[in-house]
Amino acid sequence: MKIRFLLLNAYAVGGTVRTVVNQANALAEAGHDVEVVSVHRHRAEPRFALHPKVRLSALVDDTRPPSRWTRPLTYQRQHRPSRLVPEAEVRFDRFSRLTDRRVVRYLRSLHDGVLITTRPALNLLSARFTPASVVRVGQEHLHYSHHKPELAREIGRWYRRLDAVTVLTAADEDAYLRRLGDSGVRVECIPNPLSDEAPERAGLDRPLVVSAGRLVKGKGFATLIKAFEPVARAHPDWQLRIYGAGPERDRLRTLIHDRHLYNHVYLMGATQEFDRELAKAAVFALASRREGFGMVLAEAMSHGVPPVSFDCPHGPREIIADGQDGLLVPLGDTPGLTAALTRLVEDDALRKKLGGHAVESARRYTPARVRARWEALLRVLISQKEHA
Amino acid sequence: MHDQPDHIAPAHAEVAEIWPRDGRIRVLGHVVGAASGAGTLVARVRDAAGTELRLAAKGRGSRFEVSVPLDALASATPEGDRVWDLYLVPDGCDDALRLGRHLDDVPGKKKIFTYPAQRAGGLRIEPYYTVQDNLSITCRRLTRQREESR
Repeated sequence: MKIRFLLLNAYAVGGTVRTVVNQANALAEAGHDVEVVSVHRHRAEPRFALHPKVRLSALVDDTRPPSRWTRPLTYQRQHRPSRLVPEAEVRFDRFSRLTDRRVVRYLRSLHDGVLITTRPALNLLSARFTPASVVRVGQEHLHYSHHKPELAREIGRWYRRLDAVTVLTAADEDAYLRRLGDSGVRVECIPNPLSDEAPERAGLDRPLVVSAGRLVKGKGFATLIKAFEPVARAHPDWQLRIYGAGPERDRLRTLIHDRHLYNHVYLMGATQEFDRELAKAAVFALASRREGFGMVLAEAMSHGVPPVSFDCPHGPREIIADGQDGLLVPLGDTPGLTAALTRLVEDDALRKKLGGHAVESARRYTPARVRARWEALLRVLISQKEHA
Repeated sequence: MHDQPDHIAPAHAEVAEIWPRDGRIRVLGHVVGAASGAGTLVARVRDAAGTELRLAAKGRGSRFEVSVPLDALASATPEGDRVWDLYLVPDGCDDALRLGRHLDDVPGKKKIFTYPAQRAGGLRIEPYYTVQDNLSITCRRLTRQREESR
């Protein structure tokens, strides 16, 4: 299959880029003809390495900005706001008259194969300008409920022209079906893949609870620390390690100091070897108020580490089967979080049972499984196109 | 979590817990490469030969527990801004064992294992891990500016 991914910036660092690069690499590895096209390019090499067979190109090369004197039109266009992208698109500021021209020219140049676009603005442009002979798939990495009303209206208007919209959660699948269900566009829920095919299995015998995420308010680390306090008092050999960096660090540090938890709770910073750290954990904890998908839960589970998570919007409920392969706690119920952590801390057998099931559950997210789901979807879409 | 075998580590006093509260700094741990944890805690002012503080260290087997009163640190360094390096001299042992934490799986503790500062005698006193993961105590004179930046 000939598959192209259109990204806003394949050279950037972020969840969407990482996921798309993983997908592109997995499909190239399986022998497909894969190309990644980046609207912007702001550094020489991408941060997430591409498979050698994946071709990469950029529509606007910001490493070589146009001269005001030799290319005045291009120069002007890059400084004028886009006319095609709705202002309600979160990254509206990254689009310009120049990207309008280059993206539309690129989309119109296509006539076969598959084009997968990876954010609302690009999905909308693809729906409007890509010839119908191309299989057009719009990926949504964000949640429908987070879109501003003006953007949702554009989505309702244009996405029906796509061949398929893919989303990460069943809740989002419902939302898009409600919005687009009458139009015949296929809405499919395909989760993000884990990065590792065969993660190291955790022994679950070290007294260690691990959590991870950017240190921002929404991740609820302060709540987690408070929930862990009684656990540390009752079981002083247990530690909580929090991986990640972010603006809340100093506040969390002060909280740890004020509550005299400095021998039990550690802010570990960001790590390159998170997989290795996960494999040391006996329990994984997540106290987020909101998650994009909660991939980190699937990651922990793939190591056989039983997760405890708030039942917050987007992800946890779809990843964890409560009492089977992890524990879900009502959102905001801090004593409940303490109780769930305590259950796992005190009960070796329960930890091992849930951890064992967690490994099985996480197989849904192995790169091979997710790739197979993509291949199946694209195959169906291509044959529909051929028979149309 | 001393999950690595002790015999490969050079002799030192391995720190397990630090409790900087209630006007003192309590340190708990166990000695490595020495028989008994009981002995004397020696705190030496860095770069000032001769200035040292000696305190009794309680021990049980290889475990030790020491308690450093802040007043003692403050009155020994009234001029402020000093670093104290901590050593344990077990009874019947000639060597001073440096306090540190080397047997867990977290190298580079300085920024990860942090402890609250306490105040005594116009000083801000704070235990910390050095870049070599050894335990020291900083004393800094409280200036108006520093108090404000707290």
